[in-house]
Amino acid sequence: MKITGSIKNDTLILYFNGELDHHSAQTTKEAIDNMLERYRFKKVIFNLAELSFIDSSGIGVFYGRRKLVKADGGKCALADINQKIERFIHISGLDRMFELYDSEEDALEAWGEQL
Amino acid sequence: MGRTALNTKDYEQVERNSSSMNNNYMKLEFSAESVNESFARVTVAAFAAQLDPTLEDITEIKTAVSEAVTNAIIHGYDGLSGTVEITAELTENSITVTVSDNGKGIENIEQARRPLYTSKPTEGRSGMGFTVMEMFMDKISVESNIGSGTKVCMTKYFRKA
Repeated sequence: MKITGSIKNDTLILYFNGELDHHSAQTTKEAIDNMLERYRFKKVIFNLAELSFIDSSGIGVFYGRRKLVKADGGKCALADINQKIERFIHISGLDRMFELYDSEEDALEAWGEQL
Repeated sequence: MGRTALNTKDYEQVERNSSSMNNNYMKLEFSAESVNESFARVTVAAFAAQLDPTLEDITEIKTAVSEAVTNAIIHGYDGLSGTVEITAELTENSITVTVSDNGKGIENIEQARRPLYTSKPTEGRSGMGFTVMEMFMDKISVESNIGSGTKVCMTKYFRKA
């Protein structure tokens, strides 16, 4: 699993590339939490275009990061959910915990960001 | 003459062997290390691929296997070393996968299967493992003995295209 971040205005966009399971969950959490703690972003978008696999270990990763951002008064969205993980996102209830957008641009626009 | 020496139990064994030989079968054993979770699910998916399943079916099998193997590693062995065994058997329209460990066993299976129940709430576990297995497979059974291990058996039927 590779996590990369980019910053657009005051929004952090995190790109997930690879498979999110119990094995990769711990390092994924740490990578994200380091970025969140350092920069205290109030708006975070998880871009899932290249997330090729997720199981229930991934629920904790997303849910836990959402809690951190919300505790700081911020908000999170899932964007660009690809077909391989779409059904899991719905069955797991992650779709009800997060704002969902077709693309990161849609999320930025909805949040009133300049593209 | 040797044949007449077979007792009933032997005949049962012969019958069982021949019935499982009719169906394509595989067995896999590996160390209970989290790095093997990906290996396990990809291997079962590759075995199932000969039934020409849809991509959605393959994803569901991979996810269910991943959940069962993760449970064996985190809960069965709880950080201790051990081995996980997987068997898979194909019929023309189904796959049955068993995932077994020789770990500590589950005290209360009904509770473990309940959505959102986790025995490790402080570790950010969602408690959704069994629920995901149940949603993605058609049949699931769990046998567990305290101190000797757990075996999860799950079957998925493929819809004919």
